[in-house]
Amino acid sequence: MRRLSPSYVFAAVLLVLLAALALGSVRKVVPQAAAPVTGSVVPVTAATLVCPGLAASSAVSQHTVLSAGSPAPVSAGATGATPTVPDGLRIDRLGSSLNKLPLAAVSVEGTRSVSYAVPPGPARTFVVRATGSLAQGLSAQFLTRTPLGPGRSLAAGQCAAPGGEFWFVGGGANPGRATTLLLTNVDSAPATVDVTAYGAKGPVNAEPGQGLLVAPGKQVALPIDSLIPGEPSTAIHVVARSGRFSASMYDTQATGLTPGGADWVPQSISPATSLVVPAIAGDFGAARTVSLVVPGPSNAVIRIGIATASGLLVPAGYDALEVPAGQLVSLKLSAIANPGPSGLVITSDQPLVAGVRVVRGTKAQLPDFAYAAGSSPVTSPRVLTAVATNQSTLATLQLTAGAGGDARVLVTIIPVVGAPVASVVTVPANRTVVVQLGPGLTAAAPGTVELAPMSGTASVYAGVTVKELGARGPLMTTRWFGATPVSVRLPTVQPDPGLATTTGG
Amino acid sequence: MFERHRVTAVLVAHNGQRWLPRTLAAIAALGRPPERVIAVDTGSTDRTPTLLNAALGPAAVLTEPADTGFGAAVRRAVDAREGAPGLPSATPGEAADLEHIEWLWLLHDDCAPEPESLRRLLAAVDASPSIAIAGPKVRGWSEPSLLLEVGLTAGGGGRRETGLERREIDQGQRDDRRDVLAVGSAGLLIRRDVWDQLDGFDPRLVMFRDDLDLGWRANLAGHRVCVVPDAVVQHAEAASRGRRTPHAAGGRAHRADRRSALHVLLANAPWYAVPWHGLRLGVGSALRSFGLLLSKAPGEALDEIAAMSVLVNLRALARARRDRRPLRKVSPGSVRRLLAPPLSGIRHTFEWANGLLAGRIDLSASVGSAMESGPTGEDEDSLTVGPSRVRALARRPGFLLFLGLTVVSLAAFRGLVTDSGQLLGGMLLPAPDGAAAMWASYTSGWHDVGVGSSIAAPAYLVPLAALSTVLLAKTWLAVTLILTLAIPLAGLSAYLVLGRLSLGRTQQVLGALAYAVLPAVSGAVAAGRLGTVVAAVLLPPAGWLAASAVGLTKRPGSVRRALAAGLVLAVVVAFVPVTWALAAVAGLLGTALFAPRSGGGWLRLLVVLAVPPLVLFPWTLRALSDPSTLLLEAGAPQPGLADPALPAWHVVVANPGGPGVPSAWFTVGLLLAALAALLSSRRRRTILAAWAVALTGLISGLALAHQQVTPPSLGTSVLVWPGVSTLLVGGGLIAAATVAGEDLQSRLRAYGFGWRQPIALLIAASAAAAPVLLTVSWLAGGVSGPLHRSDADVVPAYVSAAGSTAGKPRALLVRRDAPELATYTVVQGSGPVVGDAEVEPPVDRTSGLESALARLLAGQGDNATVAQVRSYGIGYLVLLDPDVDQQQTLDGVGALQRVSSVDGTTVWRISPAVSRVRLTRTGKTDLPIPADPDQRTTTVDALVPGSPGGTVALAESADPGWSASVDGHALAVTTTGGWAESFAAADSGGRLLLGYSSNRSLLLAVQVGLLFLVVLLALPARRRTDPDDDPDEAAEASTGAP
Repeated sequence: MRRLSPSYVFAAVLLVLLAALALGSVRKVVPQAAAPVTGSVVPVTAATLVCPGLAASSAVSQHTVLSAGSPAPVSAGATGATPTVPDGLRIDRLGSSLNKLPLAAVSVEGTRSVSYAVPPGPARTFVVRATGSLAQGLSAQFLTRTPLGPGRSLAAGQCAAPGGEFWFVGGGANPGRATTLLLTNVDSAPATVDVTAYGAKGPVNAEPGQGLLVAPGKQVALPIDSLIPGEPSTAIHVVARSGRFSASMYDTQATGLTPGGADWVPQSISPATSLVVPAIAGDFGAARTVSLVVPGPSNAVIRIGIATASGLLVPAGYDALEVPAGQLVSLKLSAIANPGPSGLVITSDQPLVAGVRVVRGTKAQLPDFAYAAGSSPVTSPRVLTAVATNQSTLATLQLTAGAGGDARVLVTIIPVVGAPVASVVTVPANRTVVVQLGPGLTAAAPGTVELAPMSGTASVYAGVTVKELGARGPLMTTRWFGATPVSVRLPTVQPDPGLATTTGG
Repeated sequence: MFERHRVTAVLVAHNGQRWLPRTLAAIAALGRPPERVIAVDTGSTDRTPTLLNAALGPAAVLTEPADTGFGAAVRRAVDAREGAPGLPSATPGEAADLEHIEWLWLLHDDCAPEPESLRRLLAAVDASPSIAIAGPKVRGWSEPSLLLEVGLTAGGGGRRETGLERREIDQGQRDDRRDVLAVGSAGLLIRRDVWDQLDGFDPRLVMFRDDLDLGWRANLAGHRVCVVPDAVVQHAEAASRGRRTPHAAGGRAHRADRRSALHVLLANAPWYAVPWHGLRLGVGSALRSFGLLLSKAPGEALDEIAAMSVLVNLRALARARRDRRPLRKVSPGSVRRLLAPPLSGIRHTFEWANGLLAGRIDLSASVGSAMESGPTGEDEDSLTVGPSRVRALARRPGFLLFLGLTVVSLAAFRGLVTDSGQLLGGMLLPAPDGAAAMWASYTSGWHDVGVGSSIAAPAYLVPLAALSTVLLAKTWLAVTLILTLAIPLAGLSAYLVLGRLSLGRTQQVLGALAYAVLPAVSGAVAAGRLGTVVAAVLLPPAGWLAASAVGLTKRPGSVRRALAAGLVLAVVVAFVPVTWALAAVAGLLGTALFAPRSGGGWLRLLVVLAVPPLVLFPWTLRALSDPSTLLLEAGAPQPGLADPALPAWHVVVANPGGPGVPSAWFTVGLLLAALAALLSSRRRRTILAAWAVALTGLISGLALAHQQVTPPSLGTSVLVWPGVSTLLVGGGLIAAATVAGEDLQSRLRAYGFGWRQPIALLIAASAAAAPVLLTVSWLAGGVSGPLHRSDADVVPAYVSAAGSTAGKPRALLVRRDAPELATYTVVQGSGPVVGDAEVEPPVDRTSGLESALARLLAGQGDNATVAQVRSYGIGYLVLLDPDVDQQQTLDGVGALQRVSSVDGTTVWRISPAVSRVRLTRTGKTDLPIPADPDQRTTTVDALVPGSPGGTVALAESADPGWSASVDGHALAVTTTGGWAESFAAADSGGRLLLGYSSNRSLLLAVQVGLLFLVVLLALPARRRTDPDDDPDEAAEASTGAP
């Protein structure tokens, strides 16, 4: 090799270095092509709901209607079709052989819903199964009218989907109360369940509620007074250690032989820092009690606002209320002048659950009560079936918007006979709007109420209060729209061989 | 003096003209001469008879045929002693007043007794009449300071053991007179009556070991055998060193030697030990012959085998033992103390290794690396071995560097010491249970990984499995050692190679340190990259060997070295394939720069580059078919192990980015120093060569960084990590900087003080700071990153155990990373282990699972969905870190039964039980067919019913290697689900045979053949010249003996 001067070599190497550096820097750094993973939305194709312990005793003139239905698909337009029991809907008695429908259809509303009268007999649990399009937004309800006798009441319950965790704010275990938790397993795998009861002194994990085994196809009834005796107001948390189950809770009250009313306690949503309790009936003289539980370890500072038709009302002292952790706190809202139909808008710095108990009836009358609970917003079409009104029965749709902003919702009333009536209802933020479910729906020809949120608006919460003038006093209950989703988001499933090794660390 | 002793010296000569003059002169010069000297010439063809006759007179010279052994010759001389005329003989008068004791003194033609030797031997036996055999101390012929023998004993394997170290210098350290098992026949003094009693040497021992045998028998007969160290003979050991052809042994010295060794041991050992010795010698001989074959001495390997005839010829052995029996006076146990201690063989090996480490044995001389000549005085100094080996070792900077870096490395691993389990994470998969599993994984044609694949196993399993085998089958230990010793080993390897560059000690140590803690090394450890770690350790020697092979160093090139370089490179390429391309570029660049006209150089470069693809043969085919493997390295590729925003200048300063690398600023000093080195006018060639390496790394590093590859087994793209490129950059910069830094001081002194000194000082300081900064940051940070220690089991033990039942269920691992995202993988047994990532089937094989899994997770699954999952042979669904909702969703599916929920892992069993092979039947449910649970690959031998229109469906990837037959009739191949192997079922029932066959063994045989060939060619030929040879021998031979 010829001898080159060091400085030439130096310059040459430096040049190569700089050129490489420049080229390397100029080269586009390709960002990792991370396509956003969204999953895919598919319609729900199967849904199961459990309608627990419906009793109809022939001794009293008790009358129970079980109804089920689902929102009409967007394209559906078959109004004139012959009414038939919808395909893909099946109702079985829990534990009974299949295909033996024990019910007689009382009405068939289009192709989307059906109502049955439950014949008299001992308490029975029904399982509603829907496949195909009927499964989308499936709703199943039951309404029991007991005009006389110890269980005198108007009680509405919602058939519950199997799940792993349920909250109920309501019920009690003081003398005269009988609150029963019904745990039903319709899966083929057993479920093991823990029940925690919250009272004024804090949570109780009593022995009867720990490790409850709910065998497949079986139901377990657990009286609340076995968990937390003497407590006038309770909140119940039910969670599965394994398996799935459905939970419902029924509350009756009596003073001696004088009936004090009865109703099903609706499911409350899981603890959250922002809650809306809609559909609180607005009667003069009704006693409204809100119960709150902060299940976490820290005390919460909360603010309770009452969303009325005219705006948000925050009672004095309720704008910064401290709620001790783990204890059930009951506040009487009766002190405030009747706000009319309303909902509660609760914000908190700690997750909490809340429910409201409304007791109606003056001193001279026999009382009845109803429950409302923190509920999930209407984000997809929901229906409530077998809604009937008449001269003595008043059904009121109450829509409450949260603090998030104005909400608009399409309300369609689909009577058995006649054309559906649709209207868009605007619900301003922190207000409650009332829609009377009036003409067109009768006891003989009930109808379906369908809610469809308008896209791009804030959340709305809904419930229907039902009031009746009974012979010895008012009867009342609250009915809730079905919460089965119309569609589910399937996760995007990707292979990742690293899964087998990254778990250890 | 010692008149009552009458000594007859017997000198046996055979073609000894080179040594005889000195031997005869020494006999003549004896201070106490023997009474008689009888010479026996065994058919010499040179001037031996002439010399003997001239010195002793024809009457004292007996002539025997050429095939006469030493023992026979002595016997002949003894028989002829009486009446031989012209010999000094005892006077009758003396015989009257003194009781004469007759002695025989045996001498070789190549052994010169020192003047006082006989007197001192006689003094010893005179003082102790119980001594029947006395022997002198034997020293070297041309190097009299070398100690050759001070008594003999027998080691295991019949080794003739002197108890001396190799080339031990006689400093009087063995000068105590003691009883020994035997003494050498050169200068052996034996009492005549004992000679007669023992009947001389065993005639069955033609040559060699006859002395050992004689001494052993004498001991057993109750006589003492004693070494008298103050009597000295100088011995050339001509026959045993192969310097002359031993005609008596039929020309095969080695075979005779081995045969004698076996014979002596078996004939003299106690009877109960004979079977044990026989077995041991048989195995030992087989191993030795293999070793000899490897060192290209096939003749001696054959000798070794032939010598085993002793073991077969039981009658001769029995006769030899029978002859010995009447003489035996003492128990074998009393002789045992004279035998070599049981572990002496191991001690020999240890001493050999110690010598290697201490530099007394130069391996490179045999492997063939060249030493660039230069002032290595300091090094030479450090290589001499002082009285204390430990102290000597401690003075060696290379050893100290290794020790220090080991401490640093262990300190950096401190965070992982307390955890339990084994090292894994990053690219590192858990180690399998035992080396056998690793070998099986390499040799198997079918891998039960994922849903099964026939992809060729990666070649790096071979060195890894070999290392594990050495470590008593502990694969985890092999992996742990590689990772924890990464830095010390890299430092040692850089130290040794830098040593060849003739550097000052400081430069050498600093350079090696800098290399050992290069960001690429720490980054490779943190990310569990075994490949880059191995590359860091082996690249310096591979590069040096290659350069030396091509002829770029001062030694001429050699094909043998090229093959050796290719082999070392092949190991690196097996771990990090891209190294081959880098080596090619660097090799082309280097050869073009420094030896462009050397045709041989180009050819040898070709050899270097051709070896890796050849010896990695089956893997080479695979790499050609799937180029993504070329850019990745050993282990499981994963996103997030490389820096997507790596700035270009980081590569220039040898920083590859990614987890575990220190700041890029730490190594800037190296770049500056290497640039400054370019301005040096001395040793330009070396500096340029270093820069050629650095630029190769630089260009390739910039080209590789930000490259994305999508391994089919991963399905997503991963970034290429320019680790090995930055190793080259770092190595090149370090070499350039250290070479230039070597004479910095003197050069600067040459200039007057000016701007040069401070700048040079600054650059030198910044370069020297680099290794310090890197070490400190490595120490301070510790090993953190994807690499961690944990229990390897991702699935519960009962799930992995179920994998080896007849149904061979797999497990589906699922993690719900987000509501909208879930990831999964299919595992068999306890999950993937080292080497499985490379054979993992492409992810699209399981794409059919994804929709089913999505429905299951969204709560929309039913039993039909589960059936789809089952068709993949999945018997267990394992949800990692599930929340309550997910668990309940899956609990609600009828065909899933939750079986456990521990430690963030919930497992459902899919029912009914899954089977890897099933028979589908029209109108009926599938019939599971049991597979052989002991076979790693699904194999069926079972009676099945007929199923017209049905299929024999396997939950295995479709592959041409599968075959099935019913009653000998092959079934037609179909595919189910677009991925799985299946066969059209036979209409009538019968015995179903199903299995997998591949040509993997054939490919491996080719690989073994190629590897053997390359290794054989690369190994040095066995040296025929002995290091103990006389330096003047050549001169002597050319001039002829005086």
